[in-house]
Amino acid sequence: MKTTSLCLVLWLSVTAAPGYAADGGIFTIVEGSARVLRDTKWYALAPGARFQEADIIDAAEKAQVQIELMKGGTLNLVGPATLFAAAIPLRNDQLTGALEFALPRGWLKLATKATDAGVRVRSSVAVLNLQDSIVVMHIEPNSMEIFVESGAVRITESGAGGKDGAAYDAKAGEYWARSADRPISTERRAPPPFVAAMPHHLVDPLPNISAKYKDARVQLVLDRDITYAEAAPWLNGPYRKNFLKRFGPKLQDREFRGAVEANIAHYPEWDRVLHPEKYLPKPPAPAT
Amino acid sequence: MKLIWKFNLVLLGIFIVGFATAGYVSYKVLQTNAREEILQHARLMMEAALASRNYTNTQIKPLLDTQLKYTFLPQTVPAYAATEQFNDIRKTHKDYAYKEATLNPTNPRDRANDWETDVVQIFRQAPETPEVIGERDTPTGRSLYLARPIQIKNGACLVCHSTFDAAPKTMLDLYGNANGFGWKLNEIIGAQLVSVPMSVPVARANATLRTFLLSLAAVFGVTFVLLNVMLHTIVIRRVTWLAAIADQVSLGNMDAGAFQTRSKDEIGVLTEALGRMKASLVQAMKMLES
Repeated sequence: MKTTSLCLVLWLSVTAAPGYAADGGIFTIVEGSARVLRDTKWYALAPGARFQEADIIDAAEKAQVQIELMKGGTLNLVGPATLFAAAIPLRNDQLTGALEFALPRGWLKLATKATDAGVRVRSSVAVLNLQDSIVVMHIEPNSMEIFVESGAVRITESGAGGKDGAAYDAKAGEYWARSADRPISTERRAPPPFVAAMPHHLVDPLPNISAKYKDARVQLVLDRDITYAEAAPWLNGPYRKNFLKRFGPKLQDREFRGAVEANIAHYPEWDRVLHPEKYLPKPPAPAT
Repeated sequence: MKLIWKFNLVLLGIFIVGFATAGYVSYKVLQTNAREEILQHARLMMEAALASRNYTNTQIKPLLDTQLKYTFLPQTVPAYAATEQFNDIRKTHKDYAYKEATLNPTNPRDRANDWETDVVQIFRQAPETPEVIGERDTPTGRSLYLARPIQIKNGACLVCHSTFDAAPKTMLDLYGNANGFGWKLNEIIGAQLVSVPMSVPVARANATLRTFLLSLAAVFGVTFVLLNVMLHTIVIRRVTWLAAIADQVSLGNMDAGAFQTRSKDEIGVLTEALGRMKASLVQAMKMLES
């Protein structure tokens, strides 16, 4: 046990160094119940708070969260929805690569500006690459619907084993849909059921109100720590490595560790940390 | 025939001619004014419709451009906006109407009926005609219409009205693909029609005419009576009195009465002359007797 604790402390000291995330944008609209996960803690969202790389936004039913990015455009998320800012590569106020978001579920309107690298949105069934375009998407765990309001979007289906599948170029005015049990399909306009289900405000241009919060310094209010049930989907998704490192400190929490232990087969990386004795070299067999 | 009857006959004749002339002239003027008033109403309504179209096109449609990508909004169509605004007015003014009557409309309610088609054909055959004004009978009375041509001058209109392949799919969802296509640039495809009821201004004109004529008749009547009274008092009674005295003097009765008056008018002069004539006659008879 002492060895385990020592290993844990050593591992955490190496891997869990606090990171500094630059502001990637501003939360300009927060309506309804919405929260952001920063490191391992949930905070209640408020307009004017800064948006950072690695933030996970969780919006409740009918909640609306708008993020105006420093570079790259505006996002409007409508719950029930979850959004992960996988990459906001800003250096000296310039983007050095594509912005990347993961959207496991929810309605999202994304208005991107012309940047060098573009924006990538990853869902369970496809990856969307956008640049200087406006799209509305509805993502569920096994389905995707997108309407290209303007510009163009490259849709790459998620293939088996995490590999890329077929790619398609969606143009302005086109609707594309894909689900686990149906192949990708397209129509030349947004079908009425899609429009009827869409949150109504998404049919309008996204407002630009970041100037209102330019000098605001809004402190996020701490809610609570993440639970294992909330962390599990991220630990088993495409960003596993990032989240193993990020949620590592939670192993010090008894309840969290207990849940990990119950599912240890899924976490061989943590098994080494929690049970180093299993991985010690075996003593050589005595000579006969 | 007595003098007063002659006088009254002439006076009546003059009154009748004057009354008829005044009545005819005032009728024409009032009817013309009423029609002008109706036409002014119609022009004002037409300008209001044009303003509504312009406002929709320049201020409303740009705000809804994004929404149009999802759902076709007829509220962004200037013709729809102008018609709907007018239909609201019709809730309290049922006899007024505005329609953008079209030979081949997208919205079936805009299809031109028989007489509207005739008006549109006038414009199509003579494209330089700026407007047509006419009257027609309706179930609620006579109505004046003012029509102006609808001509496709902007190529942007053909985005929705050239072929159904080119039209927005959201518009086809609402209206189908059978109507409102095949329009061409510079073609006159319909007419803006404003209909205004004539009954109220015409009724008002008739009421004014009636009041005027009744007043004129009353004035003529009072004048007739007063003139008769004056004629009798100033002329006829005095002349009758003079005639009675002269008659007695002619029969030798020099004591019948004196030709005396304080009046200096013509009857007064006649009275004095008759007095002098009687005095001369008396003196002459005295000379004969002596």
